[in-house]
Amino acid sequence: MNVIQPSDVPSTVSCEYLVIGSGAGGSVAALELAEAGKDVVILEEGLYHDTKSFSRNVGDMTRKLYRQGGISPFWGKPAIGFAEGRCVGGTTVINGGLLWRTPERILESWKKNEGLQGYDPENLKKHFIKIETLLNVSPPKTGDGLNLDSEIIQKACKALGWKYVPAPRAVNNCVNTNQCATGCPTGAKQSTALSYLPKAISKGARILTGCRANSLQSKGKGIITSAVTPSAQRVTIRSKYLFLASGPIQSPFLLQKNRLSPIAGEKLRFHLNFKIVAEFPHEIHADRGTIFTGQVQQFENEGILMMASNFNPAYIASTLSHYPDNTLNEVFSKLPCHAMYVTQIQSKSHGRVHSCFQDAPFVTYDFAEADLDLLKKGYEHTARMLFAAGAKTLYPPIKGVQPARNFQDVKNQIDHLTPSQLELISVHAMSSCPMSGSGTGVVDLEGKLKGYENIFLCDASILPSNIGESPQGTIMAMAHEILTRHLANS
Amino acid sequence: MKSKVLGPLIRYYFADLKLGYTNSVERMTSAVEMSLEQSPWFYRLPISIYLGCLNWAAIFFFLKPFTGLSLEKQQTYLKKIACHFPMFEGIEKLVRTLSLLSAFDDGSDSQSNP
Repeated sequence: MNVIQPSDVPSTVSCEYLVIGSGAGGSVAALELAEAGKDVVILEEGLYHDTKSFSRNVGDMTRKLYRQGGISPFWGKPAIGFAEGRCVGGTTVINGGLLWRTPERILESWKKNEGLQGYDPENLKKHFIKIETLLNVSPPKTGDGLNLDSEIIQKACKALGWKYVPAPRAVNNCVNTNQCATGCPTGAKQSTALSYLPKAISKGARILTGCRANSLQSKGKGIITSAVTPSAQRVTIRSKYLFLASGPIQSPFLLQKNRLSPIAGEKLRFHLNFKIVAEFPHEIHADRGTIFTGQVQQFENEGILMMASNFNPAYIASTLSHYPDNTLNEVFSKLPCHAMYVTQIQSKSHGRVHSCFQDAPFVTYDFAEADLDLLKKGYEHTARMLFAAGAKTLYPPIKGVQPARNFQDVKNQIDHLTPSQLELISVHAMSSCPMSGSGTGVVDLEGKLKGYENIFLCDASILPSNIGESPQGTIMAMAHEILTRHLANS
Repeated sequence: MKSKVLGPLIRYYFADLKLGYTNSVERMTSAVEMSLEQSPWFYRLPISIYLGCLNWAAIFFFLKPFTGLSLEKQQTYLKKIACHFPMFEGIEKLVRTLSLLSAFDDGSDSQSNP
């Protein structure tokens, strides 16, 4: 892909539209604007990494593709590890490629509670069709014996009478390298770096890579954005319009830091994941399959989802890092018999993005009591499913407990569980700059920042609430809708 | 100084691990350092201060800073004394997780990508 490397970035750039961020939201904005014949510049903090450069080296790839080398905690009790991408293509380069349409119950609640007129399933359908076509969203190949970790829970769900749904993923000829989280080395996963962005470039958009936006100033009828490259070279971009799509943490951080919105970042919402390693009496070879091919949606309305997770010795070891050495040795002595599962809950906790340190955002949150109940339920359901699938031992992400050998062990762990024992992560944050039709949000129904005519947001931050499902599809559909409205108005 | 403290720490965390990891302690130390370098100063600074305290506190017990001790004495210091320091568990969790993430980096190269 033809990108402008940091060393080649000119010190001043002028354009009609500046898009900050090249992930799920920014790439949609770039393509829609470029297709409409607008002069578009995309500013991306991360670098461009070619598909050929993606290796199995988890540590190296994490430092290359993730923000802050993967160290972006949400501070609270317990602290949560948050991960997001920082590269051309953003988090779409390092996610599992899941692409769900927004659950109807969520769109209904947004319409009812936040006045989101026009963001209904019928109107968003055309956007989803476009996204699904461009990203080649398709159901997974199953029955080839390569995704045993998913197949055994599918069978368990059938026996339990639970809802198991094949996961629609943005992949093209997936060959099961199980490297979705560190960049797909075959180019099968359709990140925006392989789909939307090359198309936007072919229509005339320019991508400045390695440029971190620092300051945003609204001057008269334009915006002046200052950015800095890794070699500390300053870049000034003058644009008529700004589309901010730097994600649920960086977007509110930039708005707060530049005093463009006093309420940005106040209502951060997220999903919580906890990973369970399960041992089976026979070999599973979870590394031979892909990240996940299906999802257990039996408890979706309660806010609980379960699925197989990416399998790699480095992930297993780091996930179990709170266990004593002998436990890790035991797991690794029979690694092919193990698989890892993730339970995701639609958290009720609220976070806050702070800009007090200026250099980078600092995120805090209050752990909601309701989350403990939801996590307990999630663990209980996952354990029931895994034991039904034949698991011998479960290694839960709970500090200070022994592995669970039966359901009674799980019950005992749940009875005594406290938040500080939990080892949680999050890969889905949103709602830090929520959209509202009633004037209470950070942006209006056109994605326009309150108080400004030429600053728009189109990333995960605008979602009015957390959606309980992987948000890439929703982010992209909402971005398409915002751009459709903007282009119609202008 | 940071790597001279981190190296023995990682050696200490990995002393009883038999995971078939392929990376060396030196490479893992450098990987952890690089990860920490990428984090903002308000994370880096407290960690650096902590590692500095860990280094100089050894003077009270061995009349030498941690970095000047033999490998054996360093491990004794970590196992018997430093593990009781406040926040030791938090640093252990962070460094152990980061080093485990990098522990298999070399080995994964041998599995060629399709």
